Amino acid sequence: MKLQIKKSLLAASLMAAILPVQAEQVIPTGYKVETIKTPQGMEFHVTGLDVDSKNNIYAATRFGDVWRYTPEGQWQKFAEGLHEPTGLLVEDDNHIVVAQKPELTRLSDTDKDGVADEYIRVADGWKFHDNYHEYHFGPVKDKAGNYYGTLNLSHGDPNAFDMGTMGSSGGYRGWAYQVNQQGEFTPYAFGLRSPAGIGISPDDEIFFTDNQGDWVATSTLQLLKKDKFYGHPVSLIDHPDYTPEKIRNTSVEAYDKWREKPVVHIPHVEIANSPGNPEWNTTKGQFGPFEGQIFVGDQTQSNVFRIMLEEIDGVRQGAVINFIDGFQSGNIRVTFDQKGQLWIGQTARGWGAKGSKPYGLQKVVWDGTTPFELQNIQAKADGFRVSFTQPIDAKSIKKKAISAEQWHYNYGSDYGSPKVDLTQIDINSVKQVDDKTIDIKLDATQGYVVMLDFAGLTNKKGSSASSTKVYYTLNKKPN
Amino acid sequence: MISYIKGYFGAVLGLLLITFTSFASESIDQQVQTLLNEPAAIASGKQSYGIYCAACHAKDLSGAVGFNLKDSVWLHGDSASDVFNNISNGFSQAGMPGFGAMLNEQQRKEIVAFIFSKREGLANVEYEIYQPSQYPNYSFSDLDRATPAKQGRADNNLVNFELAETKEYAIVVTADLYAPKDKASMLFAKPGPFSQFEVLIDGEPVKMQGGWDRFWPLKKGFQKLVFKMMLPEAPYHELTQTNPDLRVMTPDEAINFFPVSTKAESIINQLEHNIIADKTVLVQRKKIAELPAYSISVGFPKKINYAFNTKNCSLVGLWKGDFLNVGPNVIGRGKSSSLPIGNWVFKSPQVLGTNDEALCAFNKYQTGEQPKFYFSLNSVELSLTTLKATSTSLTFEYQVINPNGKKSLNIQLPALESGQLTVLANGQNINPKAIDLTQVKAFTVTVSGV
Repeated sequence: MKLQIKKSLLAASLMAAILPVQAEQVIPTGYKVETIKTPQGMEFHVTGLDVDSKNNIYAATRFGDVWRYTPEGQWQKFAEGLHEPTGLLVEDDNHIVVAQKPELTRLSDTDKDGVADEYIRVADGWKFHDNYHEYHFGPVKDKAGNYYGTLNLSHGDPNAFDMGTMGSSGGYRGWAYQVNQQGEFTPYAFGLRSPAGIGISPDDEIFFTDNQGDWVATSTLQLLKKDKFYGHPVSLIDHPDYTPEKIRNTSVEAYDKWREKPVVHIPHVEIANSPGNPEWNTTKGQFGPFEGQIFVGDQTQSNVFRIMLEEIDGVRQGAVINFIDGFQSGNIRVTFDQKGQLWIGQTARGWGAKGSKPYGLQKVVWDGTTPFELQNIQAKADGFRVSFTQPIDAKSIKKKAISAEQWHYNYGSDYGSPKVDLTQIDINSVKQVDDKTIDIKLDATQGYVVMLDFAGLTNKKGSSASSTKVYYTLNKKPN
Repeated sequence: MISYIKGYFGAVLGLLLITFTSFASESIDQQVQTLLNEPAAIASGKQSYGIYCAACHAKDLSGAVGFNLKDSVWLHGDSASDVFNNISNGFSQAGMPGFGAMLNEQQRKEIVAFIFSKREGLANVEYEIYQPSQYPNYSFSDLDRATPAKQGRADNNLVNFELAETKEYAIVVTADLYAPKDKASMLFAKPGPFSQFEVLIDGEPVKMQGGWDRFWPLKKGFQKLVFKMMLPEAPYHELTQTNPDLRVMTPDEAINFFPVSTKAESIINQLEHNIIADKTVLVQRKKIAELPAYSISVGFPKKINYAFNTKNCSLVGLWKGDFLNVGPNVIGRGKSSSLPIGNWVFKSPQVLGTNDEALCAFNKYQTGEQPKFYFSLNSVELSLTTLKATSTSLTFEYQVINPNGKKSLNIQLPALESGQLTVLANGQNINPKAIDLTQVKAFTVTVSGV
């Protein structure tokens, strides 16, 4: 009998390890997820998404089509036959630029019949070797008219240079590029691994996400800067100062010193495994109280999370918090439309997603109700200032309402990193600043990720936030 | 008594017939084996195959109306004598005539030899399955001393790992393996973590490669395979595969040659997503088997198709038949190549244009019933479109948009599998190697009789 009990306990714990625990969906009050019916019979893996001035949604599919979804709810095919596009930009109402594997291509509707009839090469200054993993992400366009894109490393290419996992057969794999208005291609930055999302801030700064794996401890948000190294050495195969031998013989310490540190670490599994494009909320309040923040989808976790940035003494850093989970498929592309609704392009093909559907399109709509959620977090010399979207119940503001821990990550060729030196941090004090803001005093360590869990904080009605764990990357501790 | 005598004579007659038949069969098997080493006989068999068999079984033996003749599946026997008899007698109900009266014995043997020269897949697959109690050290050396819990011969030339029927097991498979003769290949497995493997080719251990996926390089052509797999001790990691996908592919995973396990067969069978240009001209940019990266394919309702490459600004392939099965390129991670559904008229490195990428600057293409490509070759601005497509011909038109000061243009012609090429300007044959740009503003290249 005892043995049987033990066995069933073991079985139960094994099942728990394998099957995801059914948790309540994270979704702030006032937001809902709507599912868009995609064209019948089409494999609608949406990996490129943007909107035009008339609020037509343009979706590029992995199958190679570009579709337009009108405000009236009609689907119209705009282009077809592309090579697995994984990015789309609406330039104007007749021109779409897509990032397909071999080329950055402008689709032009010259006879104005609503269908593209010219497929124009904008750039192809990198090399594509027909490897499935050589994805091409982008583009974004800055105010000067330059395009930017990112180029994935290869996987399983027998001819590639690699250091164990991801590889490059050369031609700027693992690089970001710039193309100016004259069409000149410039390799822009290097050391990227699987940079599945690129975005541009209202201040004209380019950011990209990179997926956890070899040389990427956990997924990241990075600020793209010219000629900078972002940590994956395989891309150096195209750097004029490097040979395969030099790449292999350079120490991890030297690479670590050289590399750009992530602006934000995105904790693996807890927030994301395979983040897509960062999209700034500039909807002027149409999407609720998170104006100016970055929204990103995750392909594996089928969620959307928020990122808040700040700059301390010239050092960029910020925090990430889950926003909504439980989407139907893997979220890889997000874009705001003209009404301030957040559209989500989805695919789960080849890589699993928590959402059970293989592909799809959903959107997040706000009904005007302000939820109780974390609004912002800022680092201070002695802790953090945290603000909320609604007044906090003063009675809930106490030390035990909040817990904190911190850790850092290993950098190296291992596939991802565990949390290193994970420790609980004592909350020294919690002090109310105004009805929506508190200061949390604690002794956090520079260079660590600090997780604050404010599960005990409530609004005046006694409700806690839908998402209570915020992860702050403390690159620079304010003086 | 009478019945005894009848029975006796019947038995003797039967024995004589069996002996005679097996003697004749051995003879054909041996003769075909001899022909396999005679290039002239193979060439002759190829010619006869092209005339009598290719219409139904496809020129590359991959099958159409008739069965695929180069894979592991032999519904009517896989010995040379079986195939010889099938060619001789046919299957009238299935629509295949007997060729016994039409072709002499030597011709039929040569056809068998040609088919066998192209053979791919497994044969004589035998398996031994062991239970964990028989390998206490979880070592393959344990198996040397053990008696298999189960053993037998696969009846469909595929390894069926589900025969183990227990969660934890070790298996040793021996088989004849026919790898492609003209391409490098590897045995490829998706076993998940922690299983152990040993692979021997012609008795020699082969080093396992790969990380998540495992692979072992194969020799070209025929070889003896021993494949050993031992699952880890249960409970398994959730990603450990008890029924793994095992197949033979190109080292870059672009082409699936054939399945080795039943799991692989079911996966490969699902890799079909045909794009047929039956109503309108279609343009598709995909990874295409045997064509270089950067190829753009154009398919016509007349069941003729070509591919233009944006890196050499040239035609790099032309095939007859339906357009493309893009399934291997759009299902799962899409690691493998789309497959032209038909027969090549020419393919890369044969080109219409040039193989010198440095001469090429691609600009754009226009879609429609006559897709048009715009590019420069050696600084000469050109456009290329099709004037006419029939089921046996394609006429391409080059227009010189701007010679940019160049006096002549050199267009390399491809060597064709069938048909002929005609290059015309102003109604006259011209030399494609020295097209006089001072006189010629447009010229056509017609591929006909294909």
